[in-house]
Amino acid sequence: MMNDRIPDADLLERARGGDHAAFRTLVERYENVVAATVIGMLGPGAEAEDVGQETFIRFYAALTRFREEASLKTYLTRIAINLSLNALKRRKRFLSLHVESDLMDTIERDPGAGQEDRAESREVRETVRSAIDRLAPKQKAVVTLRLIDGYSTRETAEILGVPEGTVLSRLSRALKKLQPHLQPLMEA
Amino acid sequence: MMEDRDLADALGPIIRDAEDRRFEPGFSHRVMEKIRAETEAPIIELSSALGRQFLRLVPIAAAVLVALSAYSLLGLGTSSGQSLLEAALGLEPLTVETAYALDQSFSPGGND
Repeated sequence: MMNDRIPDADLLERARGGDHAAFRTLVERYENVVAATVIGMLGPGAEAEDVGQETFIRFYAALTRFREEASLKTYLTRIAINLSLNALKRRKRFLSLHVESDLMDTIERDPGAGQEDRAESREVRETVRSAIDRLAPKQKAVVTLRLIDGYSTRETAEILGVPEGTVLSRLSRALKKLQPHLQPLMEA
Repeated sequence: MMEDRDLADALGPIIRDAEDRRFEPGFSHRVMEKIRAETEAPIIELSSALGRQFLRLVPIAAAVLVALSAYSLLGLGTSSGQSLLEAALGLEPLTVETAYALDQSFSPGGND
């Protein structure tokens, strides 16, 4: 495995020259950043994995165009959030075409089976996922970037390409929507 | 009613800690496999596209070849001692006179 202390800029330069090992190191370095965004937006599961992979494939294709004015973390998050928003649109279209409306909630709230957590933590996870999935995609993006990824309002605005005021108003509306669903967890 | 900042402070950790947001192990390997597949795909696609174009042109080229051969055979015939192949290819009969004529055409002032 390549040294973790090699700067991103060096790895980028080597990756541009066709060094796959250098690009792989970048993937390993930033996969958790991308995972936090796509799983925050879509929930865990195959769809999030696909969007995560697609994020790095798009980045690979854009290697020569990427200028290091933006940080790599921000750049990857921007790709991940845009691909996640597209995936949410596809999901909505699919559900509206193929699934009865009363089943939609159940599917949208699928927490990603296969993890044997304790019942309590599973319940918390499902409650939070269910609450987040009730948000509009744009509100979900703001909540993911601000509360999960920890970006500032300014960074969130930059990633989404909207004014800071829009970020604040979307976050405010999202929080008010989340509050009643997460109230029991706040009191616990 | 809680202020937005207080609400964000209260809900942030709950949302952040609710689920494990990591990919299954081996994610970077799967990404690299996909990249390899996608970067090699255009080369394979080009060669198979060329193969398809070639197969499409083969019957046309064969038909043209047959037509030209038939035209040459009908036009020249094989009566002048030519082989069937020479006639089909539309070659002039080779005689001592034609050989000398060819030789003269290459010599200086041969065409004068």
